[in-house]
Amino acid sequence: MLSQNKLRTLRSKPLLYVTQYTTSLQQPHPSPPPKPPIPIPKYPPPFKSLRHAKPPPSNSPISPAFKTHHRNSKYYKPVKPGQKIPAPDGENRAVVVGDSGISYHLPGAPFEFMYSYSETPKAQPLAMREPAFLPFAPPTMPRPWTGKAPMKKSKRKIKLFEPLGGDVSDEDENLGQKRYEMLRDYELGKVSVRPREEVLGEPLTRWEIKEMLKPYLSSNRQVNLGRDGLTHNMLELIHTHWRRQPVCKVRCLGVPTVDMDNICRCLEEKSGGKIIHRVGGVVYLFRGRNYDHRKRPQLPVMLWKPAAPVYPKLIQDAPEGLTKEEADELRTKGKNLLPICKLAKNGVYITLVRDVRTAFEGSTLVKIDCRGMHASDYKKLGAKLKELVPCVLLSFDDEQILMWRGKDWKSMYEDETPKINLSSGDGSRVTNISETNGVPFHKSDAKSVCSSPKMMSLWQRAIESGKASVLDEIDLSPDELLSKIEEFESTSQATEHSYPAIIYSNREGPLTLNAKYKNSLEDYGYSEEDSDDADYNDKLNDDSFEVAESSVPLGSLPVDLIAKELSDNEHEV
Amino acid sequence: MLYAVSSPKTCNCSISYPRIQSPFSHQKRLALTRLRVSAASSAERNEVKIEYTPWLIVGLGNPGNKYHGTRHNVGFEMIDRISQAEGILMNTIQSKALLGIGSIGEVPVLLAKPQTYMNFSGESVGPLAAYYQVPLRHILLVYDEMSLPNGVLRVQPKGGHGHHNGVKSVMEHLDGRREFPRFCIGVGNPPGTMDMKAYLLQKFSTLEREQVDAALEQGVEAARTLVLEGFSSRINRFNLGQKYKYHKV
Repeated sequence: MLSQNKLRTLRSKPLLYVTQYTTSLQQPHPSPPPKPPIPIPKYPPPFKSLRHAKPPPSNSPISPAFKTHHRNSKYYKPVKPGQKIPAPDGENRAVVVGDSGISYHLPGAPFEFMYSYSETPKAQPLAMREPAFLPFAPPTMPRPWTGKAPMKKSKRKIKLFEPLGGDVSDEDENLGQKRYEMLRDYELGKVSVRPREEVLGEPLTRWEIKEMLKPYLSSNRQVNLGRDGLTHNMLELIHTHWRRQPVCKVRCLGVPTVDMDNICRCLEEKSGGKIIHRVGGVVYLFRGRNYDHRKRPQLPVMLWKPAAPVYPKLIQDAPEGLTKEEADELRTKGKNLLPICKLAKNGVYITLVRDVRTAFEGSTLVKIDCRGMHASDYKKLGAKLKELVPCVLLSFDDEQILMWRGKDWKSMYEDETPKINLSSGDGSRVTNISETNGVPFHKSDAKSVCSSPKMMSLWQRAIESGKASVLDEIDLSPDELLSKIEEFESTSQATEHSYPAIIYSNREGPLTLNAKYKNSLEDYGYSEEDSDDADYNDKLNDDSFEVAESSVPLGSLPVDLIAKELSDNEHEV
Repeated sequence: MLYAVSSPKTCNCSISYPRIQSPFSHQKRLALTRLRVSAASSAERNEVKIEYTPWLIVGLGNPGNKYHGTRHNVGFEMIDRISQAEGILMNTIQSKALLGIGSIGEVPVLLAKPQTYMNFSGESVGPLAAYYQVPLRHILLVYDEMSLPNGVLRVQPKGGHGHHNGVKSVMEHLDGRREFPRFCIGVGNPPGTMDMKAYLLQKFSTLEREQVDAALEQGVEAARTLVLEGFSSRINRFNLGQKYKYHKV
């Protein structure tokens, strides 16, 4: 059947026509597509690297910290804890895999060197990402380390230099002299550490600290401590600052600020200085009264950043005794949770641990919003939180850290004083004692008011003297209440500002008030100057106090008449 | 005059790294030295002694039907709740405010709702406090706070005015003093670029209304604790609980 069709097409009709013709004629199912005029050329498949299309480079330049080679390489060498890998340079140098990451043991060093003293996690490393090589300069070199290629013979004159400060013998004879030396081998690794108390000297008094800090508080000459914490080369940097100024300002930003106490401890131990002031993320390090730059421990500088070892995964599918279903259930619950705070990319997170701990008091899950931070940063943050607030990390998706407080979570408060019972369905953890400490309340629904006798007497006095008035109906609408109050105000001010005054004259007996009052009413009725009238009235009162007060029935003063007139006018209008 | 004198000792605990205890827990280690000169002896409990000085609890708001139930008037609503819960009748008018005298437990309490407009609240609160001889530290101001999310309560021993005209006027009339306790009821920020005044004089949406009603219930309990115990660790825990109450699973 097919061949018949082909014959037909070859004979006369154009391609398009043919398909319709043939389909309408014979076949119930659709015909195969027409053959192309030339065969499809076969291209080789795309390269593996091009298969995953790379995202266009973002506008922000990638920091060199993220460009290291070992992120792309596949080197993986498992290590056991406590392993000591001797370096190929020989001479007693070794790479030690301790329980705090990878450290480098050099002969003659006061302590084992690490890449970062404050940021190595406490977990055991599982494997290394690069061959074990110490990132320091080799111990011996055939010529002095000048950082350049060897010189041509014509230039090899003997040059004299000032000593680099490796040896200091007697200060006194050296003060007036100048010493020059020939270029000699740079002796690495000769580290002599002066005892800390000797360098620090007497502890500083408070006013000394204040005086010393003043020029540094607003200056920005500082050592910046970033996501790698206190690195090894930073110690050298601190000493160069100390060469010129007694106080070195260290500003910590980003992930390490979660645990400022740890940073301060590491700074004091490794650098040999003393912290005199700490605000937020800024630490002021004092070098010591008897600091001498030439006698400082001259530690070798790390020449490159070694690759971080492989640590066990932060997020497990079924962490810590939960089954996978339970963990997934917690994760779905966490999707609708509000984050307790939003963290800035390079911010100071000092209160984060405390906030997370208090948030755990009220809820089993806590979410932190980390949008805008690098992925490695918020993962490091999660690792630190896992150690500090003891918690279990559940997920990092959507750039939010979701944490669970763990099965063996104990509250900070130990419930000695029971918390205020949050009623109306908002409190998930309800303590038993809601009546505060067992004192029964007198919820008097009767009309009798009970309060302290002093208050009651004050209240009665206010009512009697006209400053206060008792309402008969309680449930007034706000407008009615407002009008009643305004009305009362006008009358109460009238009684407050008017006092009985007795005028004595020679000829007659005590005049009644009306005459005097009518003249001075204008003042009282309109002005609201409390203080002036009060003073005036007090004086009047004092003068006439010895004389018997005339009793005027309430509401019959001329002021009252005016007030009534005014209120009548209001009602009319 | 019967009132208790308190002088808490400052805590000299050395803070070693890492800081495990919460900073609020050392309050319970304060040795309270209080002199109690009173006949009522039902206060032997858990080292918390009652102060019998009267409290003046003032709720700020605008009078009139037009402003009833708006955000700025949550202070009034809270006072209404407290008066219902404690059975204190608000039946007195004094110094341009609606006043109710009563007591919570053994402590005399005055509930006041100034019926001046918000910007002049101080004119009624000041003379009232002076007349009833309430000390500055026992004037509790209940008002709405835009910096807290909707329905979150906070009890503070002192603070600023937070650009709240009512609080500003009260501070003016108390001789510029700020050391009176505050009970802030959160109403949230105005959305987008909405005018602040328009936002405050709006009524609550239904969801917000429910949140605020729940909050008012909790607030009554907190006010009771405050009056009976003063600023204790329970108030701190209450504040923290309120801060994270919407972050629950």
